[in-house]
Amino acid sequence: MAEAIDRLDEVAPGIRNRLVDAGPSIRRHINVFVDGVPASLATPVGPESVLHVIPAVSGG
Amino acid sequence: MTRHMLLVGTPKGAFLFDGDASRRSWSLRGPLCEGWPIHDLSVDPATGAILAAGGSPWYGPAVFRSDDLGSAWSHSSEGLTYGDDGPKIATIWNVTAAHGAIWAGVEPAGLFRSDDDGATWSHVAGLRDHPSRPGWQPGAGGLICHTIVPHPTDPTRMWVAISAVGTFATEDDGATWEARNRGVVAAGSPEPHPETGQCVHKLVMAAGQPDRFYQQNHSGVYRSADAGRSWEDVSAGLPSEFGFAMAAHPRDAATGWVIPMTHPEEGRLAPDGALAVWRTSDRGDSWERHGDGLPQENAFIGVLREALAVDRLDPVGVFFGTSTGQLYGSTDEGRTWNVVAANLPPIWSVETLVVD
Repeated sequence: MAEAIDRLDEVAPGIRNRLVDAGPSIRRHINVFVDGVPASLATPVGPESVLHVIPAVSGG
Repeated sequence: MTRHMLLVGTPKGAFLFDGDASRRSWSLRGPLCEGWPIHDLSVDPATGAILAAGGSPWYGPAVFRSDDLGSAWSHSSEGLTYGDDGPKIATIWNVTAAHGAIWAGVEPAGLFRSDDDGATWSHVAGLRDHPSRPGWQPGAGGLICHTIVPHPTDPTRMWVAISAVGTFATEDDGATWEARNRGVVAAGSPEPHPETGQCVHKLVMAAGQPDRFYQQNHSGVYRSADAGRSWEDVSAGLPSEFGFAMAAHPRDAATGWVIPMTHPEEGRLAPDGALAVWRTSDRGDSWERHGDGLPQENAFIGVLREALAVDRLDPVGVFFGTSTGQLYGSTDEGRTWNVVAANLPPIWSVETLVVD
């Protein structure tokens, strides 16, 4: 997941800072899912994986 | 044709008021900056860019920038981090541009600078390296670097203020810092005058004179004639020594404004339910109350530290916003007031911008 976000940041510069906090860790009120399962930066991502990045309702 | 703007920061985004030289007629744009919580808006005097600083609970802290008076915005927080071993930065409380750099004061307290118009940031570690840091404790509002005051001509000198810690100054471009709190009572400390621990709410320089400062502190209103090295209490005559907001006249070093609030145990509200701005024209030796046009009954209202601003016109315009979303303006240096807007989100910051 960390590497996937790095690749995303190459396409949309600055987006990594919106999703990842110091640690590094996913920001507290952002949830990421790999193939429907809650994930962290360490979660493996395969070539057919579907990633969801969803702002949590706890953030607002 | 003169264009007069008010820049307002709220938890629901930035709001811009567009007015003219009359300073009585306004049109509103907003919410801007994606509706992010915006703690502070300011203007880069070198470029005219509007800067907006804050932080989203989802997406973290960022400084927004507009080069066209608020129509289009970009934002960045590249480098706004204490590193993977450091505390997470919750939000940015102050953004101030001077001498080609942009400075950001953040929570937990620290200072960052950008030398590329806000695209990337670097930590000014010297401030958090101050030997007093192990004793830094947050105030009721947090541990926040909330005020940045640049020297008018020397880019290596500046002052910052940190809530519940005090005022610091650098004379070597941020490499080292000196605490400047002598004479300010540290509320909440068993020792009345420690080196740090003073809860400074707002720090202002008097009319571009780098030796003359005023501060609104938890424990009183103070003045300094030696660049903040020592302070003298000038609260006598005010209904409360407590308050948050303070502004200095752009040309007259002896004139300034405060908005006293009741003590925290009494709610941090306008004293006696009557909202008023108090003005001094003799460096704080005496104060005049001005409430004409402000609510004088049942007005349980707070005004936060960044929500009072002046313009540079003559007579000086004074503007402030309340934590219940009212924005007031004066075109006669604070003597009489009118409502600019009544139904905004809580107002965290007010700044003026005059474009000729």
